[in-house]
Amino acid sequence: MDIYTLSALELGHKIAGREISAPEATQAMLDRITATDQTVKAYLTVVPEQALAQAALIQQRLDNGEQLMPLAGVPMAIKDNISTKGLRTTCGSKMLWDYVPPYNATAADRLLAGGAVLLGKTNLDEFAMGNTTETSYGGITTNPWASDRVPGGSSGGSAAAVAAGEAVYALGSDTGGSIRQPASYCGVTGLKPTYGAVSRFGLVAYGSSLDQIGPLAKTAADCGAILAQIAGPDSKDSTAMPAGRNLDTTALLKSIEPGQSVKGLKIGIPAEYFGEGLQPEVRTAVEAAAAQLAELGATVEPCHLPLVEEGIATYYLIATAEASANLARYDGIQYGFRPTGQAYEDLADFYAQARTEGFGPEVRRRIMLGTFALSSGYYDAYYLKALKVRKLLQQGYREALSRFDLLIGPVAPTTAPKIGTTLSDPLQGYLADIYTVAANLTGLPGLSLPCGFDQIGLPIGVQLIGRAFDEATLVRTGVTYQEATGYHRQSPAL
Amino acid sequence: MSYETVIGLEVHVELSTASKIFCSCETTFGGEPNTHCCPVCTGLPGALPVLNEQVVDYAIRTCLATHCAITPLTRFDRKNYFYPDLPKAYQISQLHKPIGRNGHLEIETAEGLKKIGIHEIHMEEDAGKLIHDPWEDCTLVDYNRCGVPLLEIVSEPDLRSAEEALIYLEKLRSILQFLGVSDCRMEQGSLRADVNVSVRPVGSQTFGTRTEMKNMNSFKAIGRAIVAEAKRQIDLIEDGKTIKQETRRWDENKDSSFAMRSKEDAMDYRYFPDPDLVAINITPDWIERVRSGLAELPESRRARYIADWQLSEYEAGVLTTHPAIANLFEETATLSGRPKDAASWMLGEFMQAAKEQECEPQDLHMPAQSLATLIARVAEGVVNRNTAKKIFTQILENKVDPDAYIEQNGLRMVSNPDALKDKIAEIIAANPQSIVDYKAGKTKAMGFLVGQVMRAMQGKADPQLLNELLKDALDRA
Ligand SMILES: [Zn+2]
Repeated sequence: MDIYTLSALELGHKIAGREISAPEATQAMLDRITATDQTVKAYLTVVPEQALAQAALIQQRLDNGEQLMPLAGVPMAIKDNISTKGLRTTCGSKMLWDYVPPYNATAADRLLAGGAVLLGKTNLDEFAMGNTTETSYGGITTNPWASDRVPGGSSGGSAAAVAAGEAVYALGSDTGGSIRQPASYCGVTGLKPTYGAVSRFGLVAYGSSLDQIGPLAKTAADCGAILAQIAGPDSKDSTAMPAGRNLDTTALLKSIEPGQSVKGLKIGIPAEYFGEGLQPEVRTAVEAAAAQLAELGATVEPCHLPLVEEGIATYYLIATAEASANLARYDGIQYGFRPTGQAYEDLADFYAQARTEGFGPEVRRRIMLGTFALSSGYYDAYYLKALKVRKLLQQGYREALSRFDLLIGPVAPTTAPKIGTTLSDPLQGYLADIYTVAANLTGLPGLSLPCGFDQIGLPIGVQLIGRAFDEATLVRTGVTYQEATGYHRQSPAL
Repeated sequence: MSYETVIGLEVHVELSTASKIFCSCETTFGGEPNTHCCPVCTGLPGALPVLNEQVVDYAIRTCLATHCAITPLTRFDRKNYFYPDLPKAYQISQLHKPIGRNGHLEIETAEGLKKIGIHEIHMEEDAGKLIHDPWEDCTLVDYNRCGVPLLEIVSEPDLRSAEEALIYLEKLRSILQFLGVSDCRMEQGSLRADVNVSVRPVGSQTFGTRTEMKNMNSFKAIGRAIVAEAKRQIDLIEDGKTIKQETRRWDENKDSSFAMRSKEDAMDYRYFPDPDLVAINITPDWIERVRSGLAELPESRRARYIADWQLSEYEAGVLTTHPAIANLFEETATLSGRPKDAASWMLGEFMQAAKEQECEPQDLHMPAQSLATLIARVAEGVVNRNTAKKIFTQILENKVDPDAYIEQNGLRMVSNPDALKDKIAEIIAANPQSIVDYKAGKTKAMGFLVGQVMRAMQGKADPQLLNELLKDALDRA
């Protein structure tokens, strides 16, 4: 048995039962990273000494009989836009290449406090802006299933690390599909929680009203266990919902136990999620997943959702508008990249140089888009209109979810594209987010589950969208589905 | 042609909450640069603002005192612009849903009471401070002030002269001070005002083109800037030139202003709702809670002083210029049971000391208990008024306890006739000429001898008794 093939709950169980020690598990993962990350390039930073020291400490605490989380001692990775105290957090950008945060993100803090062992920080599209992990200043991460393919993005490093066995699980962030889509491309399970379920404190903001931290792991049960550890109110984030309005952790933890059922669940399958441009194998696999759930006792019925296509424009207007302000702080004054040895005429010239050189082309494109959308004279036509469409979308999804417990559809229209194809046509790249952005615009939770492979062996993902703060039903459905299928148990030959 | 000046004021006040508006850093003025900072107020990646509810409480107080309608779901917006003192490159402010709107203040002008409209009141965060280092020829940033809560109070263009503007400002300042929401110290920047000025022919109903004046650091400067700007605009009109809508900077040393930027270069701040902060639900209960705890405002106190303590309009007015003065006065009056005496000390020695030390009244060390004791000792005849003045200074300067100081320094008035008689006899014996003068009807001689005895007794003689005994002795001599 290779340690790196175990799920997080399996490994956590073995560590708790003294079958495997935390340092042993950590060493095994570090060895795996050494063996495969030269190809996958999932990590921007690996911290072997720190990880082993942390593992030894956790082992000691376990040996002392301390009560830690079920995943204590399990080695994991964190996306490099989630702040880690004393450990550089680059956001995949030249701008923050040497930036070391003085504090931990709340989600990271809660995992570390529960006994997680941090292996390192994973690659991403620069500032999480992209869906291929090709725009990082740290280079391209490859898909563990095919090294000429992208892993998806922006949490491509996290997804690839889990798929390659270089991390037992990882944290990602999802603004328009950035957890679910790479999970789908890499054949792992990814969960975007309800907006407000997990504190955003310490997550370097891209689109603040859309961003959410969530887990990527081998199983839906793992995702549930990780979410239970990181979710909950946080006095440092006013958009993290207070207790009572947040998710029910007890129900969530119950949903990860074996022997779950989907009997009686009503699942809607929106016709609009099977539109033009959907790869036939993706359609077949997703329909098969729906049929599988029906066979397991759920009722699956066709339904309709409004404004699915308009969702993309809405998403890109709101996300870029917020990003234009969120990224304005990277001006070369206080921290981050600053042009040196160059003359600048005045303050404006200094800012222009710092930001032109510090940011890559995609980030600059989105900052300009967002700046335009908020500009005097265009605000009403673009930003305000996008807010109105967002309201309508929210109403439409709320209405659908009043009749169904879950909605089912593809995560992405296609399997992982070849490296280079998306960057050559950015607009086409934006369209790949069509099925994922709605969960962010509506704030609803979404789960991506492996549900098959295309003809050349690339993984396909199915997406489940649930009611706000009802992650328990999502996870329960995922657990039931994964007990009946084996797609999530497949791993790439590396 | 004669012209009318139209003035509107934008007043920024720093709120005196203990911590900043979106983090728990302290707001204390001064301090080593960059010591009152954290990831939130320095805009580090991933840090998020969380609203300090005390700021909302203070804003509600101000809205209630200025009769503003309070927005039930008030919200913050981001105001985007690049400047090194603004670490996030946006200021969290309010544009779309400010906390208060449509209020007013009544001011007393030479022509009687006048209502000045308050257009809106909004909450926002302050920026940092840039300090130029001439030795290194570089500019340094101090983020201590970043995130200190501000209220911006925007008046309607209802003011018609520099005098009115100053009356309005003084009134607003005293209300804010009495509410306890700001110390309003212009020299520390906790009160700043920008002035919008335009002129128009008397009788005209349309407004002229306005300019905005910044950088006045005293009320006096504001008055002068208004007068100078109105004159500049009138001169332009008279010369057949047009007034440009622009922002101007006041230069106190040159007593004139210069253009900073024109309307054409006005920045596009791209305001939009801050997604990091949720709308604040100001419930009627919340407003009532604040209303019930609202401090008594100067007007009401003034009326009370006149009615209950028979002070004059003038005395009551001066005593209510600042809450520190009013509070000290009231406490002293109550403790000593002698409001008239308390008023006299406050208007005299206390105000004099504040003036001499060029400080705010709350910075003077004068516990009400000490002042009340002093008043009581004078009334009881333990010390005379002159000695009391010296003790007053000792309280201010050395924080002495008046009773202890009187005892330690033997300042009790000598009202023992025997002790006085001995001293009088000594002095008379030493000054034979004075007796001659006195007998010759020169009253000055009496004064001279009183002074001599007083000096010999280190000022502790009961003056009334001394007078009697001395007169007696001289008549018998
Ligand atoms: Zn702070």
